[in-house]
Amino acid sequence: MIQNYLAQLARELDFDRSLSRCVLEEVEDHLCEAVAANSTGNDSEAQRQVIANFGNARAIASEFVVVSLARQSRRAGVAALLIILSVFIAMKARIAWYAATQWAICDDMRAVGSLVGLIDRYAFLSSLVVGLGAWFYIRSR
Amino acid sequence: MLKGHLDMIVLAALAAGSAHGYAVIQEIKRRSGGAFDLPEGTIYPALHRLEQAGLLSGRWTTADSGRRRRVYTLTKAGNRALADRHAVWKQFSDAIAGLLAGSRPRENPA
Repeated sequence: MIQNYLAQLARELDFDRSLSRCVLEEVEDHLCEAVAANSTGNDSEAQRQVIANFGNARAIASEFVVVSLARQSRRAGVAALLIILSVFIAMKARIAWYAATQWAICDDMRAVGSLVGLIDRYAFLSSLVVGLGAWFYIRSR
Repeated sequence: MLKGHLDMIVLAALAAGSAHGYAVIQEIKRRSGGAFDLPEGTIYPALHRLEQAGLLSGRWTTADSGRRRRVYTLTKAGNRALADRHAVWKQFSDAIAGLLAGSRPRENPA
């Protein structure tokens, strides 16, 4: 009976596999401990009572949706920060590479080159500000 | 009403020391004299939410039965949050008590 309930809960928590694994282990421990503490004497009746006291699997799983969304938002925030950091490192590495190879552009393209450099620099700063803003927003939720 | 205060109830139950989900439920029942008889499963989303908020920390241990067990502990932020909520609750409770003390039900309400 407990295994059936856990299988049902697993199906309801299918939207977040890692959260599901963690929750199922906790719930199994809870149900087994509650059955052991039950004074009914009849194992299947004890299991039935314990599952009834635990509550509806769908209702419990629905409360985990918010937890899962917050976890995913945090992960997305960390991923965004890592991407920004990677872009920054790539940009710096590119500039260092140009300097090392003494790459030079012709006079006609110099104005275009400085404009591209300007966009390059402020694009990074803009993305950094947006990324930090998103991170603080996620942290405050 | 109970659900709105579930976080405070869980934090209060863990103020005495670290505990796993089942023990938290038992502590709530014991300290409330059985008044808070909520579906036991509702405690787990609350525990995860509070852990995510940094008010609890969770760690896996092994129970005597050999099963893995997640034990929760109140963090410093959790202690502060509990103290804050306690103060707000006391203020609310005092205000309601004062309000009720000054009112007597009319014998023949219209």
